[in-house]
Amino acid sequence: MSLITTYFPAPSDLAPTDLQSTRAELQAWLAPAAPEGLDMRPGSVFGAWGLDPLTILVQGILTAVGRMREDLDVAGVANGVVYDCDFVQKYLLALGGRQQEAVNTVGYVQLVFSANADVDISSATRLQFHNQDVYTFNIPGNGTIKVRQMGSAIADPQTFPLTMLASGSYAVILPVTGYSSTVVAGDTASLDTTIPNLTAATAFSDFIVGRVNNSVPAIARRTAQTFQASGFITKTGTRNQLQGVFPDLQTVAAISSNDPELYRAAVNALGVTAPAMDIFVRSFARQVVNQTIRLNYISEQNDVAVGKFIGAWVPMGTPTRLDAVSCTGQPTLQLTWSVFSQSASSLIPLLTAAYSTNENFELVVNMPVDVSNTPLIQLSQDANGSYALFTLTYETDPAVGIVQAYINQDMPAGVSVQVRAPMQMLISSLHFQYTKEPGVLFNTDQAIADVTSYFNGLNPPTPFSASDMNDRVFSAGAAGITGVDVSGQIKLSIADQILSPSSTLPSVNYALAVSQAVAAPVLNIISLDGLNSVYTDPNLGQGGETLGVLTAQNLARTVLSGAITFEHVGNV
Amino acid sequence: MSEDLTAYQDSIEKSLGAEAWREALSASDMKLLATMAAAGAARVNAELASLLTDRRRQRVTLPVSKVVNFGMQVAESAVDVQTVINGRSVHLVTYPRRVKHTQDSACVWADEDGVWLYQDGLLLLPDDESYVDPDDTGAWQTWYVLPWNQDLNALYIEIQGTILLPGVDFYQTGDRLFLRQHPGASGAASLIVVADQQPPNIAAFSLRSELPSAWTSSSLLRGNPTTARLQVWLDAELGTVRAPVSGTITQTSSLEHGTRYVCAGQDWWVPYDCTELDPGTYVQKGQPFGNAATLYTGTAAGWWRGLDWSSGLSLDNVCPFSGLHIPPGVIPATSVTYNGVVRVQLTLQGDPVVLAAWQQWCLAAEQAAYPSTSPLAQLCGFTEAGQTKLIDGLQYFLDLWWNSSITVLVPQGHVPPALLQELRNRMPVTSVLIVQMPAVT
Repeated sequence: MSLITTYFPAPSDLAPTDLQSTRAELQAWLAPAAPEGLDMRPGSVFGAWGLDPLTILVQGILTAVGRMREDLDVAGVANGVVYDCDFVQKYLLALGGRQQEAVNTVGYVQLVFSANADVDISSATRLQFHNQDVYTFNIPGNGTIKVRQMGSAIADPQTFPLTMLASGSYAVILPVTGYSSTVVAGDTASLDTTIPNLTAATAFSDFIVGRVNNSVPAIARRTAQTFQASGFITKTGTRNQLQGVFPDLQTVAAISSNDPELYRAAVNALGVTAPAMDIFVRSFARQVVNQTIRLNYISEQNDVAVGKFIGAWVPMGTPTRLDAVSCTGQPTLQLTWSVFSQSASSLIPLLTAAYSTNENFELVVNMPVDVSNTPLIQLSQDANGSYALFTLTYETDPAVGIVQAYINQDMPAGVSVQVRAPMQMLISSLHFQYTKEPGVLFNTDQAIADVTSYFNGLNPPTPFSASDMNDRVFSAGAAGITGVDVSGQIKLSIADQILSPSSTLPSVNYALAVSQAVAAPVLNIISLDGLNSVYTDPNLGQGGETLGVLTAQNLARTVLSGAITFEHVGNV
Repeated sequence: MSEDLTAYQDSIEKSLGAEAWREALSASDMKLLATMAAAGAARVNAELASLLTDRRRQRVTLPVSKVVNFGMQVAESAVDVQTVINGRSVHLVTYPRRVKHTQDSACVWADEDGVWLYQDGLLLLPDDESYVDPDDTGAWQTWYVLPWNQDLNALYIEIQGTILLPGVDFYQTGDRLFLRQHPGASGAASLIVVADQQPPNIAAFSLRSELPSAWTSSSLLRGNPTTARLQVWLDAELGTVRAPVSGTITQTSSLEHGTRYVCAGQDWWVPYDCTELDPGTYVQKGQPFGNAATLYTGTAAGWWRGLDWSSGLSLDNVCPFSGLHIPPGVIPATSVTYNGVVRVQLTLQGDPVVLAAWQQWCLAAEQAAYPSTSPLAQLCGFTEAGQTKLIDGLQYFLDLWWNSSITVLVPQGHVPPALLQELRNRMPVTSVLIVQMPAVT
């Protein structure tokens, strides 16, 4: 390492004001020891030939020392300014910070079967992508993977009930792990064993390479960072543990019994918190899927006319957004529907189970009629009654269930842990009015990509910042932003109606279910302030309570496709 | 060895761009550097720098007969190897290279006393059961220990021409040298320790050094958040000093800022104004000086009665409802019928509307857990609606419900709300933090 090449600035980089100040200091320092009468003023012989070059040298040394000090300041290094990487790396090593090992690539594979039948798959089965990248199933507990018929109970982490994609097509999503590759959604895998009824094995989403950031600033950050040991003892440790095991998690946030908003921790006779934790995860594996379900047509219940299609909806993974419901075979038919949600546990009531694997759904679709009140959906008939098939289009996150299964095995005894997807903010419109310099090209594509990327990177509990967002628009060529209009919704559940665990299901008594249900809160966003919304149930302990809560910890923002638009309102 | 030496000489020449260093080093120095380079020791460049400067060194000859063999053997099951170092009981264990979670191995840890624990080397583990090896991966090992002058920093050891490297072949901790292999194994009767006067530090592979205050929170809280660890962190944040040992104060010195105490062979500085203790006063280890915030986690029933609850207990932050307060003494309990089951309504202090909502919450919650019976009513001895009883409210909450799952913070003086929130964030998920409010005077 040469100090001069590494730390010294180029003489031309020295600021004139700094040189002037240093020269004055040198002159004052030297004066008492200098021969009497020595002329040190600028332009004098000594000043020009002695003090001026010396000033440049001293200023260079001062700058170099300053830079070296910055290299020794871990916080500064963590911010990304490093002058001598080799030196700093060794320095950090002495402080205990060093490069981390790489972790595996992870992803999800969708197995599609031709029959709704039980199948056992060895967890040692290998999947091969691109004839070279080998992956294995990453199932908690290992053993045999039990693919079971639709509607089967999930008895253990190895059980995966089938979901009907279309008539004669059933699927499960399984997590896999392997080594580095570039597997993207839709890539086909070959298996080294024959699995009955299997028609396809494809990557459900882009695989995430668990590469660890080993840059010097990143090591410095880890060295200085206050984090706790990986494990499930603390919230921070939980986050570290899950991010290490599941590198495909985009965000992980946890609230525990020491956070008052964890309502379900206080579901006890004294109404005070007990040890519990909710973990909110959002993975890169989220995908929009189409699922076909059967709904029975219920003309009446208990002699009361109903006239609706009602039935259970067992989604694939944990649904985070329901985009559409259509009648299979009649996709253009306009339908009205509502989703009822009921927690599977009385100790995780109402919205405290939202976006978790503890939610059970029933879907109610009104029979569409024409002007003469004639039903527009042709009913099918079998031994179980009249029915029709419906196609649901929704976004699902397979990581929620997988993380829950993983945690169930490793969690400290006596602590109730629930894994959930965060509350969903859907931004349907984000309209910018901007000005620009004459002749400057405003790059709309770049602006849309950058603003979308900004929202995708807003991990809890980072708040939304209008100035940070606007910076993306400025960097795309705008000179000014004269207005931003935003609209969207925050949904505290994918369901419209919430039922308590003791309530009656619509499939049993629709009228009673409607009377017992409470509407899930939907918060409308009409201004930028709404992008940092918080909400606590105003009806706690009273009729109409939902136990809904929204904080910076449990919010995920999604900008819907086509939502971001720009309007040029003039030049500056 | 010669190949290593040549390669290392070349690398130094390239990195330093000078050749004069060769003349400045003795043959033994060159041998040391080459040994270190061959072992991949990270300290080699620092060692070179020290050799090139005129630093006073000592060569201390120690007889091998002084070696104490701890005699513990490597075993599948953990063998408890304990010793006392600087008055503190510790375990000795080597930590294997295999680590489960990469982030854990990337950082320095510290124990409750703010002492570094260095990973990937020898670990000193506190003897308080706060450390549990999750996989029992620690390989318990025999160590060969020599008494040592702790004012000297052992640079390397020579045994019959063989050089032992610090951090590789031996470790220094306080007044002991720990060797991996018995120095007498090669037939040597003595060994030579080359040392200088510099105190050990972490960069020199020492295991014990003072914890820089700026690193307290970042390194201390990497371990499991025991009450003791959280207490040290809290003290560091609040600037509270506690007595490091138990004993009688023998000397005090009033300084411009605070007071310096001498006690039981140690001295410490309390850098703020508080009631000064006189010489002859007995202090307990951990006793705070001035205002402090102390954490307590109970084990036995009724442990909390030793604390001052004269102002009751606020349920803020441990209940979905705000403003509820358990007064000291007794509170009324009334039996009511809820969905056909006799249950209990407790009356706390607070806004009547909030209190009614909380009571409704409790009834519904108990029914969710116990649909056809009420443990709380049985505890109160209620058999029908309309009965009343005065109960010890604090006992119901602290003993019957929270039991050992709470940690009580007793503040003396102001604890900033942000620090309280940070403490809540760092609490173990198995524990609930409650704050005992100071009595209103």
